[in-house]
Amino acid sequence: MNHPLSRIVIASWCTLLGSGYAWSQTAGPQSPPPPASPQQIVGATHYDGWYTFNGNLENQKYSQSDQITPQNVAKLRKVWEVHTGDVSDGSGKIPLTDWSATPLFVNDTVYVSTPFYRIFAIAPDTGKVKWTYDTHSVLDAVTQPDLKTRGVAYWQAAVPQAGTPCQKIVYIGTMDAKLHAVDADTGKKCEGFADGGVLDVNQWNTTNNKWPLSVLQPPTVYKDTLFIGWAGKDWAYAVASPGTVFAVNAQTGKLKWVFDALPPEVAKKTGTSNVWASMSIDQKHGILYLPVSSPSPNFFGGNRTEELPLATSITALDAETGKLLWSRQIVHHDIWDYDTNSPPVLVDVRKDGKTIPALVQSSKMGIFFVLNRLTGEPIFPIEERKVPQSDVPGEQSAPTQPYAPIPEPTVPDRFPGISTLADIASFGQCSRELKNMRYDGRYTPPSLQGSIAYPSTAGGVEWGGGAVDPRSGVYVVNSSYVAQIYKVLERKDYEEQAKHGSKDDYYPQTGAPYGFYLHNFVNFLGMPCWNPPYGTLSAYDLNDGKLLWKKPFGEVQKWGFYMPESWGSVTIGAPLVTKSGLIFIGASMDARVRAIDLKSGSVLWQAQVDAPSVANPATYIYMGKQYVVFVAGGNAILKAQASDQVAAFALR
Amino acid sequence: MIESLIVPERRTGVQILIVAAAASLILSAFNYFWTDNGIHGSAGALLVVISSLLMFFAAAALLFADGMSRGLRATLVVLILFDILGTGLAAYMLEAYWLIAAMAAALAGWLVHLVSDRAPGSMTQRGAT
Repeated sequence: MNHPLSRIVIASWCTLLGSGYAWSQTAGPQSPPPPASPQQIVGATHYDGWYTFNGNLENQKYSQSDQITPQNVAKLRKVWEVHTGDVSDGSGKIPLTDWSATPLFVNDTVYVSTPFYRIFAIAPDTGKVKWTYDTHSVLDAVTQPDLKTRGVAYWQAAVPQAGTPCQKIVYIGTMDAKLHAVDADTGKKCEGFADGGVLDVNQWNTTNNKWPLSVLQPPTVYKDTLFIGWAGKDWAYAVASPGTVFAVNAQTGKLKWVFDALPPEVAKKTGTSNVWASMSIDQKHGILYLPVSSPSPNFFGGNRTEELPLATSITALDAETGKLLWSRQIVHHDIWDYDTNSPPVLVDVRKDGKTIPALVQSSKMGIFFVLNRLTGEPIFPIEERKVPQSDVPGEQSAPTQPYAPIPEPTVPDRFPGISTLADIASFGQCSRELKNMRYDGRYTPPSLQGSIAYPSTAGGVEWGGGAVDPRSGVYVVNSSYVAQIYKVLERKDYEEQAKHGSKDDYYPQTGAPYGFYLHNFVNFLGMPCWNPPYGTLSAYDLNDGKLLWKKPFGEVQKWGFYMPESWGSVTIGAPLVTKSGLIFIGASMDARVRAIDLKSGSVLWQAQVDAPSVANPATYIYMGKQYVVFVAGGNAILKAQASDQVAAFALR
Repeated sequence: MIESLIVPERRTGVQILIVAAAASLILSAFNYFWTDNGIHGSAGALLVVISSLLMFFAAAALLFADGMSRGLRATLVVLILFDILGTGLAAYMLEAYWLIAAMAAALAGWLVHLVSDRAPGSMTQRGAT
């Protein structure tokens, strides 16, 4: 793959796959083509509502709403809030809740799912709950460490028939892969969808079935098709379920096609390369873009040394047939769990006097790949850089990795050095540990002695990705800076150490010769051993790839104490951008939501919410008034603070 | 006659201190229990409740315990300074700005006490002289 001929090999694969021999297959007899969806709702590039997880199918997170401006945003006040009651701090029988649901605004209603797998339909102006729907899902974290949801999806018929149910449908997935279809007006189950309104996605989990699939990310809806990815149990097995994407009919739940990023012949050795994040769609060209994650096991690749060109890639499919159009791998032979973790943002850029249909793919590495979205060819150069090689017996790490110097990566190429404060406070623990570990720059492989991974699987850019103003090509993205210790352990050492260690640090990779130890590089007080910042917000001009500004974003909070603003905060959840030149974002550890000036990056407004708002926010105009809605649910990765709050803000 | 002139001056600083400590106690308790401020229920918010309480008691001791030895009094005065500075720093890191204002007032009271106030023991001696 990293050989000079690798591009040719990949191109050959792509050609082969594109010619109809793709791992994508068409399922059984097709149902009659359903009527086209109305362009004003599903599949539309409209900027006055929030119809999908990312605002629109192009994943731009952009709103044309311009009532709230940099001049008046200081007058923003909370106008309603809803507490769903669906929250757990994990102290009882119910696991901790991590709530990252984007609220949708469509059908004159705000729809949001809860981590107890219920849907709330909320009046957009008052916060009054119109109806709720309960999946009665078992509240057990069967694949993930906590109960999670990232929201709902919405579909509506081309011409909704009055009095006929399920002309407008809201979908919610569960931890055990049940996809429920619910009438958007009444909250009643749509009996015509799959089996009495519930599609068991896990019925298709037939290869290397080690755990149930989890549908935590809402499906992507385009025309009359739902594209369904799923999450699994990370880091547990060497051989696991292959990452199949399912396309089903939005009304009937009938399978249309499936797509596998891994060839079937490697199923005995590996698995996953699933699509657990959302997807984006070029509606004009009917292209579906998949962020494909890494293969299993995540931190050792000795069992999967052959080329897997679609693993950790951005992959483009024909949305109608599922046929592979092109794919670009962003990490070769991934042994860092650098999943492609967010869908690309689609936007046209102006370069050399030409308008180019482009996409920008963010990454956990903090590198941005700007490609022609029709061909996959780079718009800004992508280099193959030599990287450090693994010394783990049996491993065959890739000699080079793709690197895009433009736009400037958010995470620097070198570890930022030991924090003097953390080192002194721990009597030199940080520097002692660093001395005993391997660190050779980006892509330092996991090792038996322990390696520093910077950036690590925690990011760079997380699953929210960035937002763009499609008029100007200004792209805004939040990024984290986290150093972690990656250590592979021979099986007997693993068994011994895992017995005594924290379950949060040890991962078996059962079936591989090595277990794995992963720990944030912190001292015994929990202080990060590396120098700040820990999180930033950046803006780029995608037309020339230049960085416009980059600022520390959010505040680290420990025991209630806020650390200096210059440190920034690790973030989860994305920003949105409005026509009036504002960025709205939660995401930070300090449980504040903010409005930021798109031109300067200055914070213009902030408000406290009940927990870190680790969800993409939404904005919409209803009855002539603009609202911005945040879900404040928390995520244990940031801090132990969970809530059940949905908060809407508007000008008073 | 001398004593009646001295008493009001003797107590001004410590009176400011005790009012500021009481205000700090109320504010920090409010911060700890009010749920909309980002620090409620946190260890840091609890810490300033405790430090404010200690400051209040220490200031009350200065005000009311007339028979206190000079050594103990001096020790209390120094500890109160540490308490003010520590609570002020904690308030800054908690972004609890009213609490910082209370600590500024407490520091002013402490300085007034240091410069102007007279210990009861020495007053008694003066009165007796």
